[in-house]
Amino acid sequence: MKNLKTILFIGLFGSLFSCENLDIDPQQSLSTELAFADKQSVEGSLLGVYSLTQEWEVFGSLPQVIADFQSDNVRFIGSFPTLQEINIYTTQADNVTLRDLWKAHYRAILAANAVVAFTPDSPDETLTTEERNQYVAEAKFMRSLLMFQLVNLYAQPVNVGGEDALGIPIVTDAFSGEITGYSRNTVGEVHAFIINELNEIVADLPDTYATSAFTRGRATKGAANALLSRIHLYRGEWQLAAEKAKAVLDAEDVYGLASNYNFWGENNSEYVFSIQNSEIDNGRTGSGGWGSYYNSAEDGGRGDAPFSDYLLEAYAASDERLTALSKENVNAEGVSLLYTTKFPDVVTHSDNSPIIRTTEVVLNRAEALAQLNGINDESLELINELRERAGLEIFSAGDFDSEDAFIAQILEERRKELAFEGHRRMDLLRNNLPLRPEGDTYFDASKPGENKTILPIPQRELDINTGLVQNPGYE
Amino acid sequence: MLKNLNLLLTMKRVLLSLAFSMLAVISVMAQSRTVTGTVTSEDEPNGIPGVNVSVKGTMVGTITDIDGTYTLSIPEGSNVLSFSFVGLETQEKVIDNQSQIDVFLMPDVKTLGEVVVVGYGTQSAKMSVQSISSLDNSQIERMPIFTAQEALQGQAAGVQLTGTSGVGGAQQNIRIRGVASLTAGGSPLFVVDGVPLNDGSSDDYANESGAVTLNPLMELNPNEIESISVLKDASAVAIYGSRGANGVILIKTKKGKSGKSTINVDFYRGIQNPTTVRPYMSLDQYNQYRSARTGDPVSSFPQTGFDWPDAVIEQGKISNLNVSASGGSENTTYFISGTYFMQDTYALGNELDRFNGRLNMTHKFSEKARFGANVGLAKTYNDRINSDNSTFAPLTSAFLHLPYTQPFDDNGNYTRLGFIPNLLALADLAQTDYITRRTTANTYFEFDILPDLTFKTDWGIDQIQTEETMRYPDIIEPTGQGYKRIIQDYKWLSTNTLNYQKYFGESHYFGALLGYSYEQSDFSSMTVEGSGFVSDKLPNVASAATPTITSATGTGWRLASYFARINYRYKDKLLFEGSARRDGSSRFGMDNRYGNFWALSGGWVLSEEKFLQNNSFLDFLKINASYGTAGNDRVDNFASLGLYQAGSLGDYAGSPGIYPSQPANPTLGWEESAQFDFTLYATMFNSKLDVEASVWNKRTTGLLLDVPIPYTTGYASYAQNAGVMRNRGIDLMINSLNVQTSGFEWRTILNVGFLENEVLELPGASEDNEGRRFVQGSSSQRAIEGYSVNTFYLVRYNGINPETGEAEWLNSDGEPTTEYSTNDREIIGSAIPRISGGLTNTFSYKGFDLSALFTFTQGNYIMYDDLRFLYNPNNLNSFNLDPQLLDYWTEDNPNSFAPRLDGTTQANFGQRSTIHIRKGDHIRLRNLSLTYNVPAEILERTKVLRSARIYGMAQNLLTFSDLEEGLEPEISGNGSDNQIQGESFFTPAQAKSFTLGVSLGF
Repeated sequence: MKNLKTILFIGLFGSLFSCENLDIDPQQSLSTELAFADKQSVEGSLLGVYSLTQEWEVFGSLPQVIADFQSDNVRFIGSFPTLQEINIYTTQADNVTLRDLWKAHYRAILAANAVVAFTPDSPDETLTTEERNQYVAEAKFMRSLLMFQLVNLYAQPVNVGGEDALGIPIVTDAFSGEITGYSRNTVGEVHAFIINELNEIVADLPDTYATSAFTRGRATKGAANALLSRIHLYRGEWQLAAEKAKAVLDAEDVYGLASNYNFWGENNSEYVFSIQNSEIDNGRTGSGGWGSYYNSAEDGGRGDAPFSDYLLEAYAASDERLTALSKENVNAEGVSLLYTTKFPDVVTHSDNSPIIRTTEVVLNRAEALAQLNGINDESLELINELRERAGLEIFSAGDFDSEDAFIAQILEERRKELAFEGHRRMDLLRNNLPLRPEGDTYFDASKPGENKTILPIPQRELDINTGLVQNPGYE
Repeated sequence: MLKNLNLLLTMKRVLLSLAFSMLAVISVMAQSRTVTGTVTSEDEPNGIPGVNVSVKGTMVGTITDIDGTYTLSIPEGSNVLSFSFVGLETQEKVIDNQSQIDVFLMPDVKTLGEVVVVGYGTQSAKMSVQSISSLDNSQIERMPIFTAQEALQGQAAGVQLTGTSGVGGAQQNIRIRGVASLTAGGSPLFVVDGVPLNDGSSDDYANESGAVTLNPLMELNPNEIESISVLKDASAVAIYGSRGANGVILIKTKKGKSGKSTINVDFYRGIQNPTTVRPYMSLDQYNQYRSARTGDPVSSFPQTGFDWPDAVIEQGKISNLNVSASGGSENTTYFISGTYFMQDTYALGNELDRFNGRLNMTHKFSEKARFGANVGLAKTYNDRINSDNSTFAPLTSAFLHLPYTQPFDDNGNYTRLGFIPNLLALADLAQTDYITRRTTANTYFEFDILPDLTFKTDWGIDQIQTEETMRYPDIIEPTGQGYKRIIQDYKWLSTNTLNYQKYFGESHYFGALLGYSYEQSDFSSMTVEGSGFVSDKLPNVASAATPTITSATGTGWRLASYFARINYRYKDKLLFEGSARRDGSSRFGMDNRYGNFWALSGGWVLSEEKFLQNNSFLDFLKINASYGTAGNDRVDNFASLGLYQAGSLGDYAGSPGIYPSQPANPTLGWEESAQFDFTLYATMFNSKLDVEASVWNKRTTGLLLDVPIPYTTGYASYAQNAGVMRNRGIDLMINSLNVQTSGFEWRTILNVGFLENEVLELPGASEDNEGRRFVQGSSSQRAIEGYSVNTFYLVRYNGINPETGEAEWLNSDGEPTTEYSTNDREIIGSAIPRISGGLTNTFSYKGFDLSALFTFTQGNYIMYDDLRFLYNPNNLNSFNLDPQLLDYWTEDNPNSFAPRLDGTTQANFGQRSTIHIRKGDHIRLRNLSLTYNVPAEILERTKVLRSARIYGMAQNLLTFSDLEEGLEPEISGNGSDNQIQGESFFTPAQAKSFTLGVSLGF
């Protein structure tokens, strides 16, 4: 009897612990269904797309610094072997930095594709059709911008390789669990896709947003047009490039040139589209970031990318783009180096990523018009505005012997205005110019069309996706 | 089961006594003088009856009476008495002119080992059919080690252990019978007094300062351990179900014994230095090389240098003080212990302090009811440097700093050096603390429902709080930076078991165990970071102008388990065991939440058979075979769900955002390892030789594999139960008492494991150009079908062509080429040693014990990734370099290390290839110790001391290998990552230490 009691007691005691509940929810994440359940989450999913491009590998300086290390504006004082090999044109297909760059772009493209796919069907009825269309348009803008950056890095420019040169895979699906081995579309297809998509969405995008951070940091009509202008310029479609640039510059209440170089870092009319970073939210990693590449070690940066001697030669001594935007540093050996001050926040890395500036749009139009009309007043006026701002003498039509000299001068102004923003590489290649000047050790390897002027498709991708083809020289 | 053992011992005692009594009678004739005395032990301080007392070299002897006293006549010419008793160590005493010799016998360690701790209980070692390696406290105590794992090295066959780095507090990388997983954790489950420990396998434990995550045994003092059991085969681990696949390590802490209280004090102190330091260029060498490269004269370069490696390597110190007391009354026993451990490692800015306290007690209410509690408390304070792949690590950056970079300016102030920081300023001014507070405890209640049926309920906790504080001064991070992260992991479990054991008649023994346990972990963390401080004197983030991180997170997991075990023995000759466990885990997909695991084993004690009973050398012979399964649940807590993550990676422009972070996989389930084991155990030559040999084969299926998918899908991988891997091997243990003469004893213990790892299938993985499927672990190694999980896959370096002066690699056809291409990579070898083990030799003479433990590994490769930096000519003026670069090709120096300076291959010379890899074969004198036990005669005179010993130890004194100076063979720079083993990135070498200590018993 006593034993029976004991057994009963044990049974009761044991059952105390049997009420097991093994279903627990994550605390920092939402299920995919909840991510589009209502307006707040749809908007959150959209902002997540922008956020993923803050990353180091996307608009957080890596693609831009890679472009700089390949071309002639900076001197490489680097430490990372994966960037060093790009700098000396010995890049290998298993370069992990380039692998991660590819990965981070497609991750952001997936986030955009999910917004495009799921926003129209969100069950929240308070979400209007206009809002839905705008969110989808913003996501489409972002994936176009991302694909354009990729195609410029991983494929020969259209002027070198033609429309049929291998580009990058165009991916528009939101991952459903089915693994697709996307193959590379041609450069022509990628460009056509982007141009088509951007033209479609302009109408759905707003001119401005309620806050300046969003007006400069989210997709707008101006941003879409400015990106179209750039693509047409890269493709040599001068009329369209000039028109789209004008569409941006006509919105004078939103965009306009700043009067001096203090505009850096503020959300103002100088910026058509810039990724918004802050002290608590930025793409900097231990491997780098805007502030760390472009500032000296003494200021707390890595000091990897000071002005090259080539770039220094390009500036007149009094050019404010040199004097107002640089800082001297004497290194451990007593050698003096010059660093840009465009990204001064080496401590908390809050500098925005300048993706499209009004200055670029001005230069796009000046160049396109010069290509169309030769030496012309509007182009002259546009570059003289920039030269005045830089404290330099203005040009008159008589200063140029030929149309080519005039275009070359516009490109030279472009170089000096947009230095350290990642433009230089494409501006050289699309004009059939080598990335390094004659006399440089790597002059031959840097000529347009040379294998290592473009990046390898990551070996890791080729290994699991037989549909991909490697670029020549990397097989 | 114990009862039976006792029966055997009693019979043996009686027989022996009879024999000796007869001998005594025979020898009566020759007597000449008489010696008397009393024999005592710790357990029987009033005298042990039945001890054999014999005169060495004669047939004369007697046994002690009921009071433990004896009287013996000593024949002419004899001068040594031998005292022996089952379970106690045999002792010999010189007689000389003494007429009274009292003896205190110590417990025989080998006999203690005859009871072995198994999952949820104990078994007779001889009657167990499980494959287990056991260590007792004599193999752990007094070693100058920080955690108990270190003691396992070379002392348990089939256990591979690699110190991940020489930095204080670094975790040990343990693999029991190979690695049975790719992506899930590969460490064994640690269980202390029945409480499975948090092992920090989840990313949530990641911290700022490098590869070292939570070491599960970090807060357990080796002095507190009574025994360690390493459960290896399926019959041993199946009872731990979903967590048993990597093996289980059971640790039992010391318990008190009834009787007089005893106090032990142990203190040691020592010094530590790196076993090896890699070479680097002096300023002169650097300038010389630079001049050769640039053509500028040496005089145009800086002429004052600074020796960075010399500045960051200092002589380390280590000390340990342990005080413990134990004892008890008839109904209550206690063990109480306190320890202070201090280590100031050889790396600048790396110190470690630990306080441990432990109270273990048991109490008997009645003959039927008992309760007990084991409570361990610890605080570890670790002033950490970053360990490996970090420029903040002194032992990394010291070798990268240019030899002319100065730590001080002309005024004697620290210089700001940027990306590769000023290490002296970092060590001096920065705060880099990591504090762990931990309580591991359990209380239990046991009740005998029937004489043979016992119920036990056990409540255990493992509560951890870690606090990581970083405060970088302005000179390191401009304006200063502060960081604090606090983690709390509160884990509890309840275990309820019914245990039944009974003999039916003389020949049938039956035992059964039935249990239920529930375990739950609730984890939370808080992180803050800020920059912008008015002064370096303000230590906290609250003083920062800009908070850059303010984060709080939570997560958790739950595990519910049912388990059972049945034992049956027939005449202690035929042995059977079966065990089973059903686990349900919150970590797995709805469709695969529960897993079942089981094992069956059988044994045959051949020496009980008639045909083996009449031989002169064999004392005991047993063969076992087992087969069964166990699982692995070390995956992320929510690995099966499709997720959108919130946080700063989703937020944008001050507004909240989310992003897709993980694809859904509702079918995600357990990894399952099925293991077959065949073991032979023999004792020979009057227990002077023990041999245990196991052959085993472990096949893991449903390998949790992050199947890589094209990045173009937006994700990197997709967690799937794909993949099959096999580990197989042989474990061999030989314990031999080679020589035993009066006063001198020589014992040899050999533990060796032979291991072969092969990945059998990787469905869905990438294919290389030979059509082999693989999963990439790092840029140097992969898991490849048909090869080891850690296969190095590299371009083969062929040396400098003496004719041309250009570097050459081999292309895929094996032809030398000056074109480096990663498409020419080939399989080089495995990072997993084929053979590893240890050899211990112990010599005892009078009161002296000399013991030497050699450990060895063979058959593995090590990738020194850091050499890619140091051998790279392109790094001129970026980093310091390896002095071998001065040996470049010229016509006068055709057999050089480096290519000609104007060669086309100069640019690619630094590319990853076999020039950076070495064979890891080595033998190391891991531990050499000399102990002097103060003789009982002297101790008696003190009236206070019960025992006293003085000891000196040397760790890692000698290393034999083909490696050049500076290359350490024992590293695992990526910690316990299954897919990246044997890679070093400036991983600090193991320490060579010398300690002196004293141990006193009162």
